Amino acid sequence: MAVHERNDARGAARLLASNALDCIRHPANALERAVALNNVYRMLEAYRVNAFFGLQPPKHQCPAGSQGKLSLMPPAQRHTKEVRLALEQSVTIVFGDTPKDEAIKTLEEVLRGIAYPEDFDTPSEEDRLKATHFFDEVLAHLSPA
Amino acid sequence: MIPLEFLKQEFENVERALNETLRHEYGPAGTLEYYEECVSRLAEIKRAIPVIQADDAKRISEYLVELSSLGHWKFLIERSHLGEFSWPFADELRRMATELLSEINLKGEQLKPIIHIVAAGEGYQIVYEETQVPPVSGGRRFVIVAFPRSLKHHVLLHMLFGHEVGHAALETTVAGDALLKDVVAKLTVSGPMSDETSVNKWLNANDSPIDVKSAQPHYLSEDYLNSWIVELTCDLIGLILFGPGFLAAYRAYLEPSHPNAYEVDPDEPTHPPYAVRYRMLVQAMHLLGWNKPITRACHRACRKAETELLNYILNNPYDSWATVFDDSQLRKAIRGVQTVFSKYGNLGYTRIDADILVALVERLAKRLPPLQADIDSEGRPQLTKIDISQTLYSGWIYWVGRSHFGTNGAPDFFTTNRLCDHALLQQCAVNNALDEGVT
Repeated sequence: MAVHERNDARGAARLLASNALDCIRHPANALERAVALNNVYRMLEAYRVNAFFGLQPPKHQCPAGSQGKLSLMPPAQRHTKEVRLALEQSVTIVFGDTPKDEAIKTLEEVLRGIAYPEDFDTPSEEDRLKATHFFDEVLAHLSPA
Repeated sequence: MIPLEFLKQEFENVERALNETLRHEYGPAGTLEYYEECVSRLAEIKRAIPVIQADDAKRISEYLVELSSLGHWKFLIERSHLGEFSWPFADELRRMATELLSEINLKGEQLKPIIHIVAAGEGYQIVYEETQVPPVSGGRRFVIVAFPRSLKHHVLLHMLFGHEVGHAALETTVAGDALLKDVVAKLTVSGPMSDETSVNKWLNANDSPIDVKSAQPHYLSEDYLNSWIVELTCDLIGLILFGPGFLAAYRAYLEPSHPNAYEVDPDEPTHPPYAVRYRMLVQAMHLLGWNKPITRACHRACRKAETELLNYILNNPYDSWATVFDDSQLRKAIRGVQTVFSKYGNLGYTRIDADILVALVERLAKRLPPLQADIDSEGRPQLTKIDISQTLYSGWIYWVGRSHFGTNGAPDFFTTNRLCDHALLQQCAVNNALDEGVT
């Protein structure tokens, strides 16, 4: 069985969240981890704008007229619904009634500030703490009990 | 061997395999950018491995998945061989996809995807790399376009890719965001597709066609309703991208596999009934004004052929129950798609000049590639920029209306496709020359 057949979005999300957490706590690490932080940003943006984020892909979502999945294609990512739930719950816990858009943009500003300190403002201590709390919650929600 | 050692070993294996891949060229667009992206990802993973603790089983497992995925992308580039698909069509698809699927990164810079073409399997697919939860090492996203092996020259059918482009575009955070707000939101503001209650009320309506009624009661969950909305949106995107030729390809390719046009799959209802999809597309054709021929009465055989094509694609035998959007909704959704297309590479079908269209069709009737190849009195070629969707529209006019051109030596469907494929190749050169100011 190929390792990649276990294409579990929860694992990928944990990796992203832990990278973000490490960079926020130790900004010196962020300078070398712009790629990782960009992917955290991608996940946050997808969650923010894509109404279908976490839509569990139906088992046989084949294109119109095709006979089946192409066997050489990478397997579809699974458990994206759990990732969405983890993000939703974390936003609620950390940001309360703040609209989702605003909450995510705050997180993105923190990432921007630590990844590119020469080009963007240093995040405030309050926002940094919120971001730390957020990614802590995401990890907690995605980790097996 | 402990897991961490295995991870390090696996890293070296992937690195070695990637270096071997460099020796070969795959495809005319070159593989340098593909290779560079793979190398960059490997470097990110290499940076992460030294700080992984030997007892951090989860982290080791997650990086093994990253490496495995990278190995898979490397494998896909090896699958690409020239000659297995229509190169000019693939090139055009690459251009469209690059425009629509570009992202903005954390720094605010544009990031273009890396489009890779393969020929595999039986259907049309575009696979856009993990758009929701990306790999931690990913830079530019991979997009794999898969042409069906058995139909490699059937350019008239390749317009079905328009639907797949729609799927990929909806997944992006830039074009996708606009499509969700300006298209999907319009399609779901009211009517059967607006929510779970409405769609189930419609599916279980007393006035539904017999084929729907006989399978009642139906229940469609919210997840599958969302899937239906996505499919309908992608159908609309495909039509606006490639024009009436898309609908001709759609009917030719899909109708045979839907003997019951109203069927709702009882186990995995990922797609709306074919009847619903087709009715929507015909409705859109009318709203776009593409139900009227381009040719004029003086064009005689071509006019008759085009009329026959329009009769073919606008033929709508399906029950009115299958209409799920009103004209106002669909009109707004169409405008939404057109607005997005105008921002990203000025995409979308436009109607060609009637005389040029006739010239293209008449060349096909003479078993020649459909392109303009006039020479003026001084021996200079008269070059005209013609879009791929316009060339292929002429192909469909010829094919469906071929009886109006006589049957002596008439090209069959395969040959018609080959001629159109040749035309795309030559027209690509003409278009590039015109873009560069060559007269």
